[in-house]
Amino acid sequence: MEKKSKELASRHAILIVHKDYDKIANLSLLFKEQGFYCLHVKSGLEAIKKFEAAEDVIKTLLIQEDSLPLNAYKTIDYIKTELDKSPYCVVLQESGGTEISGSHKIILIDRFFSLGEDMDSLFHDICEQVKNTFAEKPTNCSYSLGYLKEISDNSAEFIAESLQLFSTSVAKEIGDLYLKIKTGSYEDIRKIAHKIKPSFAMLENHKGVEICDQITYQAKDRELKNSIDDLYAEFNRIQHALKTDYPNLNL
Amino acid sequence: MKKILVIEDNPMVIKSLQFKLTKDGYDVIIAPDGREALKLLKDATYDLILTDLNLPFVTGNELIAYVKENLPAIPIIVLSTSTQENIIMDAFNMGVEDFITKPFSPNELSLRVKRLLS
Repeated sequence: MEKKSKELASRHAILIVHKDYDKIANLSLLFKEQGFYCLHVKSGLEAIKKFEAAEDVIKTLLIQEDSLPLNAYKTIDYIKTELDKSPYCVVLQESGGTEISGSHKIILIDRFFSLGEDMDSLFHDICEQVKNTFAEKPTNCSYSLGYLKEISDNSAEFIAESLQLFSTSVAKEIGDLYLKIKTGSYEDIRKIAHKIKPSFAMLENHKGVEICDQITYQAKDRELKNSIDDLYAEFNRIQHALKTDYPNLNL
Repeated sequence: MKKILVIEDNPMVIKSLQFKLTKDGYDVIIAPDGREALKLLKDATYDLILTDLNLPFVTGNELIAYVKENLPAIPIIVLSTSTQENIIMDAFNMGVEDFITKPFSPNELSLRVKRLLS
């Protein structure tokens, strides 16, 4: 690990939750060797106490899937929704463990790791996370979940399903826009743009909303193709950001 | 339980309306277009209609005209992304009770629906 990354790692604590230290000893050792500050607790409740103590230095949580009395999902849910913390969350599974498939659970989790699996990929992901944590946040975010959170009282399941709907329905409608350009059905194009405008608005993407308005009300027939290209580019920008932020959603 | 017919063709808006109105304690029935809505209106009774104006097959205005002529007791709230005054005025002139822009504010939706159903 290069010197700069080691400096960042020293400011990035990893909390590992597992009842049996022997099973995660190698993992812990690997991170410590690379300069990370590694903590170990035995249960989800102890992990919550660590986060409650406002230990914002904990940027990554690795937690045993069937931790007792709170399992990994309940612990992560509590930390993210009740304590409003947002660590990078990895669920540790016994080798051959079954992956939980409910999207309301998956959205809170950044990845799964099977104990016994090659540690390189996990290590690589966490190093990337270190870089991201300390990287400057972009000022022009392509989307926001603020509205979806407001309308659903922060329901992770609703948000995950809405993002999937955005991905599938807007992709289909943009495909239709290109088909309509080919057939010269300009009024249909304006209707489709009008229909998908709220989808961009719900993700608080103002550029998408603006382009939909342009297509619906302002663009001349000959300008529609360029506006559709702009809308497609904006959709791809959102999709890329969503896929990066929620790799488990299969968007 | 009060029954609301939602006529809307954007799947994300449908999902959010269904989530919010169900949570508020209403029975929510969805029609993705005007033709399906007319069928549902002929088969059952509803306490409130929320409808988009730009609908496939049968337009929102045609649907409003049908309801006002045949089922005048059902109040209608129009859902639209449009803020163009002439479109809003046309809907009010046809007798709709209220108007909400999309995406809607959850509290505003609750209040407006409650007001018409109380």
